[in-house]
Amino acid sequence: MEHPAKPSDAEMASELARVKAEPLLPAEKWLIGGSVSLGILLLLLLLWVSRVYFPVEV
Amino acid sequence: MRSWFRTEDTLAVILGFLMVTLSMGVVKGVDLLGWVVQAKVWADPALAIVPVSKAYANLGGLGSFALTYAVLVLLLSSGAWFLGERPTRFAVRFVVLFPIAYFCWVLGHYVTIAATPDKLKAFEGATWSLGLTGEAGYLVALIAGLLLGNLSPRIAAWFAPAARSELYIKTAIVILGAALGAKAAEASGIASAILFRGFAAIVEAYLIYWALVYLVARTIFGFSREWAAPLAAGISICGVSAAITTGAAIRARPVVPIMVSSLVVVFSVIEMLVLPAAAKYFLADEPMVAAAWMGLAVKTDGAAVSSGAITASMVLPDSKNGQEWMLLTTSTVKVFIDMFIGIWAILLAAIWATKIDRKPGEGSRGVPFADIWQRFPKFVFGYMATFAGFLALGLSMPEQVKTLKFGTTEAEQMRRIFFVLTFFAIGLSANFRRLWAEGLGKLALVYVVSLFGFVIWIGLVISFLFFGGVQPPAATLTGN
Repeated sequence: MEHPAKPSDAEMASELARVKAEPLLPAEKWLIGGSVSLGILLLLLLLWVSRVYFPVEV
Repeated sequence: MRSWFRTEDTLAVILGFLMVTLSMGVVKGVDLLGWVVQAKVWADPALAIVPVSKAYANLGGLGSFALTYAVLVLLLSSGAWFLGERPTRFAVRFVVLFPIAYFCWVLGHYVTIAATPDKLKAFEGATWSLGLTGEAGYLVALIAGLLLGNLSPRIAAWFAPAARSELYIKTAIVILGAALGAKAAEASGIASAILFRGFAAIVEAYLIYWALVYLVARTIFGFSREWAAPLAAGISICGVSAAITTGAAIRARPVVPIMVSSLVVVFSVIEMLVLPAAAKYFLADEPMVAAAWMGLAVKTDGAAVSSGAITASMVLPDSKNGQEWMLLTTSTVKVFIDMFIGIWAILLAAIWATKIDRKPGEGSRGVPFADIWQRFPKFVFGYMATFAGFLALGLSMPEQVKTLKFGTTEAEQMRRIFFVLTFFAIGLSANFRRLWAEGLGKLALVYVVSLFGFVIWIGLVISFLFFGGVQPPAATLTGN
């Protein structure tokens, strides 16, 4: 993987100083909420499948 | 040769395949890799290193070290040429770097540091030991790299062209695939259960961690979208690769993921030092939970798989077989997370192009497939090929599993050498001074809050849910 050159500390400071706050867009809220909800649902599903179809003898 | 082919990932796959292929010579009765140097737990320095195969005993320890050293200089310098770099620039530095790193590895095998209680009796005069096993050499290499890198940044900068932790760990992981594939074949039931549980890691890293870190970075710390997306990827997925791939997906300026990456390396070192020790004390009865936890919580491939190796040696110091199953768990979790980077990047690129960066009246921006593919960690294909190849061979010819395992033993020694190089290189490149650089504190704070606030704890809970009570199967062939 190609890595661009590392910036100096001064360049990093000026880059970070230029960061502006942006309001959270509806699409971002949807992305965050949707990801977490889907994640929890999928984890529950995977947990069930792994215990039923891929059990490990303890 | 095309530039997309001449990458670190391709080189890692070539080197890994080469080692695995050479090691399989023993299956046909030809020992092609037995000259590789191997460190043993020692009290007498003269017995600290030996060739890995008795067939090369006449070389002696120093002879096998010299041969390993020469072959690695030659191979990796050719690799530098393959990557379009000056081979001499690499070689001059590697010639110095390798003996230092290997000395640390050998030092970690000193009886007082490494000998486990059952082995201590074999060493006359030795009455106690830390019992850390020879894997303590990884920590010695890491600490030596950290000291050198942070006390003498100029020396670290000089070493930089040869301190390629990503190349070394990717090569090691491709080699590891063969050994773990052969191992999985002897107990395919638990291996498939571990592989299936790897899907949980994908869900956790991308859907839970990423979203939460993005939320924290955007709302609590006020970072812009351009910063929050790569930062969330760096903290939640797999460090450097994920930050850079995500940066490409949302068309962030290159400086953004690079700054995030410099933080990822520093924090992964902290995790490497703290989490295995925590696992040893709190998860001694749950080795597979500890192993999965390393894969879920520690970022960057190098740090995660290395932490898995250290944790395995700390939690199960007396069982090589158990350590191998733990390492299978950590690497499965990590590689499953890696595999999904491309899909996640395409998803983010599509969302950014159609919903977030789209200006009124403008058409939809295209998804940068070429950028994403170029930055995808392609070495995972090498790991999957060696793992699946050896697993398939073992399952189709069960009577050959023992031979396959024996065949990977010599490549495994080379894998350990690449691990040592990884630890030393990570130490060299982890510049803790960056944490105090002007402005970087806020970025670091997002990392601290996310990592210690929820990433490692959610990782622990998920590891318990999916791996709680699971024990490595008893050794069937190795007798360990």
